[in-house]
This record gives sequence, structure tokens and C-alpha cells, in this order.
Amino acid sequence: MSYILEAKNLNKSYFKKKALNNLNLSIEKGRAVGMLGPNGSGKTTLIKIAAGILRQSSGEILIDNHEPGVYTKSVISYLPDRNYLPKWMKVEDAINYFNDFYGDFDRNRAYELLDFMKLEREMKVTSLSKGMTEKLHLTLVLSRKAKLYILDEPIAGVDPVARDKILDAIINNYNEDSSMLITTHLVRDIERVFDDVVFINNGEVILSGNAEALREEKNKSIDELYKEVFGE
Amino acid sequence: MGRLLKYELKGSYKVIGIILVILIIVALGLNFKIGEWAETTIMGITSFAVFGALLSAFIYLIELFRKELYEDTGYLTFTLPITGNSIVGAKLLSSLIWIFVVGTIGGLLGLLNAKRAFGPYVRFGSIFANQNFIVAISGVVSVVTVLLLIYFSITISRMTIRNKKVGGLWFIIFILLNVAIAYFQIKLIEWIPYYIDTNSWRIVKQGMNMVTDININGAMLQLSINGNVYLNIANIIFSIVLMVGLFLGTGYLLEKKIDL
Repeated sequence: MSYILEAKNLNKSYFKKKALNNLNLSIEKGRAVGMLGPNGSGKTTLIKIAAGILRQSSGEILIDNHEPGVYTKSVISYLPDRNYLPKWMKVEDAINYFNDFYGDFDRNRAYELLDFMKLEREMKVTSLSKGMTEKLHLTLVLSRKAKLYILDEPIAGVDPVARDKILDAIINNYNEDSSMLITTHLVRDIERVFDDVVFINNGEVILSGNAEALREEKNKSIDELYKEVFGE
Repeated sequence: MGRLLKYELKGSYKVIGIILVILIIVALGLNFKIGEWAETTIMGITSFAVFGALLSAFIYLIELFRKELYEDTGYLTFTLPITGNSIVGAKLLSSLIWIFVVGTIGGLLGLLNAKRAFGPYVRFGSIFANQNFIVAISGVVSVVTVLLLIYFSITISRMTIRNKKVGGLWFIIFILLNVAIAYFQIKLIEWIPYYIDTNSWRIVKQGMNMVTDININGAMLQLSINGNVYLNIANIIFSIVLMVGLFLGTGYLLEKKIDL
């Protein structure tokens, strides 16, 4: 079996606080995986290590059989939970920027997604609302033909109409030869996207498996299972 | 690196443009006051305006680097499939380009005012004299070294303390590194007292007791003996090693050690 992401005994500590605690996780190629857990469970820490912007304290992580670095950044399409575009940019500048740096970026696909999201190329990024900014970020990330898409809270903080639009964009534009890792605590809205789910708490994987098999085995939706596991 | 340089310049030209427009308005405004105000006042304010423009541009360019490490735009820059050296190279080159542009325009405006204020006593040709050429080279080396030292200090500071409210730590690191480098340079010229005489381009051995003036420009060190400039050979080599070391060191830390 070939994996796009393999984490073995991964640890990350901030002084005395353990953000990741001997975490083990493997993601098969071609799967959409939901990483579910409450705030502070270690989801974003794991994602940042995979994206190459945070170093683990110990353990190993491989993306497409490579340690995080220049190569893995070229095959990962990462959506952070931040507004990371410089204030001077217009939407068209952001498209040009991604087109210049990522060989797998498809400009035509980006324009189609912009139309779908009802965003205009001449808009300044500072003039966009939170929902529009998230749509632009998603347009940029999904316009790449990446091996691994990592989406950190892609629908947090947007209204329900925008949420549906963003989820439709993920489902319609997700390249099935690729893999996807999505973190969220808004499980009900997004669970239809997942092939597999991983429940994470206190930096450890506490439950994982095929989403459909878990639904059948537990006779619950993933959202209900999430509430049971995390006691919400 | 070229692609990132393009966006660095694109993202910063407006602020640099505003600085230049203000400088040009002030300098040309002063030009109209020649004959009305004292020449020394005109030149004093012109020099102050040029210095202010250069300082503003310098602080803005440093802030652009600091923001990459402390603000959310770092999530864009540090997830690009490029090396840490490319990031440092693009930041350094864009800063040098803007400092050169502001410095050249400021210098020309200063000369223009000086020419009108003092007339025939100012000769443009004199700025291309041999000694000024050496000063210009050492000036470029100094700016590159200071910029790299600041980048290195900011990077070390970010690795030590993640809280952006404690942002001033880099300045303390920068001062400490400067003191350590200056101390090492003084010791180095004592150990290896061989110099290039910039008048005759011959290698000479000089003792420190002959020196009438020491000028440490960043990492370059010039000695003046009776008005003649001597460059210490060991220090030239040290300056080059220091520049390369700071460049590669900062690039390595950005690529392998920074936690956002």
C-alpha cells in the first residue's frame, strides 16, 4: 500500500506543553481524510509540520516519501487558517503569484473557480469580506494539481450559504488522483467529503477508520460520533 | 529567486515612491529658496532630507523582512517551493535596489542644490576619484553586511521568542554581534598587519602605532595613515567570509529551523 503521508512517533512540545504525543498516522494515496478534534487537539500542529513551516521535536514525517522541504512544498497545496495574502495584492496578482511559483497551477481552472465563487480579478484582497477571502484562498489552492491538499478549517467563520459553495468547490474540483487532508470541528457540514476520518485529541490519534464503515459499525453519523467521543 | 524578487519590488514600490516624491518636493522646494536663505541652511536641510529618506526606506525594508517572520504573510512565503537562500537573496537584492535608487536620487538632488548654492566650487567629476571609488565599494559591502546582520538577528530572535510583542530582541542581538565583530576585527589587524596601499596598490606592513584614523564601516575596515587609505588584507577576507556566512546561515535557519 502506498502512502502520501506517513507520521511515525511524532512529538511536538512547546516548553512543558505537548502538542503532539507520539502520533502515528498514515494517509493512503487518493483518499480524502477528515482530521477531527476540538480546538487545541494538535490538528494544526500536525498540518504545519507536514507543510514544512513547523519542526517536530522528535519522530518522523514523510510526504510522498520525502521529509518536509522544497520538494514536498511543490507537491502540497496548503490552505492555512490565516489571511496570508499580502495587502498590496489584487485577486489577479494572487493568481499570477501562484502561477509563477507552482508548476502544477492551472490558470484557466482558477478563472473558472473565480467565476463560480463570484469573485472579480480586479478586486483588492483588502476589500474582500472574510467569506470572500476564504473563497479566494480555496480558489488558489484547488487550482493546483497537487499530490496532497491540506485544508485547515476551510469553512470556519463563513456563513452557511458560503459554506455550501466552498464544499461544492472542494467536491467538484478535487482531483481524485490526489489526496486530501481536511481539519475541522464543524463536522456535520463537511462529513460528506470524507473517505476516512481520524479523531485526534491531546496530540494523539484516538480513533481512525473508513468513514462509511464507522457509520455502519457505530450506527451513527460522523458528527454524532464526534460528539460522543469528545463529549460535546 | 528572480520570481520572488519581482514580487518583492512590486509589493514595495508604492511606499518607496512616496518617500521619493516627498524627498523630491523638499529638495526642489529648497532649490527655490537659494539666494533667499543661507547656503549652509539650504544644504543642511537637503542633507537631512536625504538622510531621512534613506533611513525611512531602510527601516521600511527591514520591516518587510521582519513581517515575513511575525505576520501571516509568512504562511505564503515559507510554503513556496524555494530554498531559504532564495528568500534571503530576493529580500537582500530588493533592499539593495531600493537603497541604491533612493541614494542615487538623493545624491543627485543634493548635488543639484550644492551646485546652485555654491556654484563653481562643486565639481561633479570629483566624485569619481580613486579614493571615492574605494569608499563606494566599502559602502556597498557595509550596507550588504548590515542588512544581512539584521536579517540574521531577526531570524535568531524569532527562533528564540515566538511572541511578536517581544520584537525588539533582534536589536539587542544585532548590537551584540556588531560589538563582537568589531572586537574581532581589531584583534585581527593586530595579528596580521598586512595592508593594501590604495594609492600604489602595493602590499605593505604597518603597525597600529602609525594609524591616525580607523573607520569601521559595517564589516569593512579602513585605516588612514597621514590621509592615505590602507585596507587590511585579513579583514577583506574576513568581510567576505562574514557576508557569505550570514547569507547562508540565515538561509539555512529560514529553511530548516523557523517555526511559524
